[in-house]
Amino acid sequence: MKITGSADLAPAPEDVFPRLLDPAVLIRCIPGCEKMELVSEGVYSTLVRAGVGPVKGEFVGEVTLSDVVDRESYRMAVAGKSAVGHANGAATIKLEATESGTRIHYAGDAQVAGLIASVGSRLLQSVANKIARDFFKSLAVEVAAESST
Amino acid sequence: MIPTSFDYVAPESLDEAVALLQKHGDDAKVLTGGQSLIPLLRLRLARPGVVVDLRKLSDLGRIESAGEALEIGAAATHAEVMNSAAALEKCPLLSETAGEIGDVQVRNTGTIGGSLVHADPAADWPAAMLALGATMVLSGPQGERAVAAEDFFVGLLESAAQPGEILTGIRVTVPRQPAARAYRKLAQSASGFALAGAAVQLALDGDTIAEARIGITGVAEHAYRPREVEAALTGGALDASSVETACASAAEGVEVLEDIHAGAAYRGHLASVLTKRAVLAAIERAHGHAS
Repeated sequence: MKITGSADLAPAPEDVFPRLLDPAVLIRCIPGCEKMELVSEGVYSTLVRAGVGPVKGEFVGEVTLSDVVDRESYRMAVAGKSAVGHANGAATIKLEATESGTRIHYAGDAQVAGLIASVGSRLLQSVANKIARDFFKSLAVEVAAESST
Repeated sequence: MIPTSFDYVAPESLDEAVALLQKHGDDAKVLTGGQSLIPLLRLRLARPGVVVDLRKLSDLGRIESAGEALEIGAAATHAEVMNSAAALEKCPLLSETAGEIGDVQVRNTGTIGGSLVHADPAADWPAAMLALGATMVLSGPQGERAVAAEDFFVGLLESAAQPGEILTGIRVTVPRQPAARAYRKLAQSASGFALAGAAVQLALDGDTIAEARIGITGVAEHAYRPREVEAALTGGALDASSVETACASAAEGVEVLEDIHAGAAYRGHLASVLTKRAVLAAIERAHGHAS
């Protein structure tokens, strides 16, 4: 399942980039994220409670950031487990300076297995797109608030 | 499979039901026909602490004529709507849509209110609600409030009903006459859910369409009205090529869903084709022949 898109943020890449790697920012921006702890260089342990309508799942997993090129790009791998299924994915995130600030391009591929995959295939793509959009929407609010203080 | 354990309550009054939902908030789920909830419970995808069964509230299943409107109780089953003489006489799009839902078992057990609140992006009712300009009546701790169909479907499996609120009824105003209507869908054969579906309610004026309202389901995160198509049809002629041209933009400006059954381009195409077929079927029915 492909998840691609872009998001525009007001601040310049040098202000946006560090926020993308900051666990305190990520925990506020990832929908349903309740834990985001650095366990080793570039590896975070996470707990995410995600839900769509009546369906709710608690995912425990790891986020690994690699190939970090300051202000430009990084690679993010995600692995999560829950009682309703597993999810694995990797994405490349690129930052581009624009006249109005920063445009973030994301391109990822995710595999979902288990119960949610077998009964929820109809909805998975839209849920994945929504999570990505909600993340960047929250991030936009976050970076706007930080740069104004 | 066996659900995780939950408390079961069957309140005797609406006030009691609202109070229970108020008390348990997000941990409570309402049960009426159970056609969406029970499978989710059995698969353990939904794990509510409390299930509030509304089936003792017999008033909630009434279908009544009220002057120029039709009041449908939220716990009326799809089959009850389908077979209601009042619905057939005043608002036949309701009967037609009900007849397209799931299979006989689903129609005999599932309820219109349950389906609407569940807000499945491919459910049939939302399309008809939008085409009819229906109003949803919700009861909550602050009393009753009415929400227009257009504001009711807000996201994937997400309606405007808040935790603590119960959808009690649906109010439909009798469509402007002379009217024409049809619902057309392409169902995914295993589930019966619409890959795409279009409900159309028209007011005719001689050889033109005086008013067009359309609801499209299955195509986006929630059912929507294709405003461009409605505007293009309004005042337009009834012939097939005018209608086809007008319906071409049925999925314009919409983020189209895709899954293993249908890609986005195909789904968007289906939206236009099914809208066109529904409009033409409506006209043909109203005139008794193809125009």
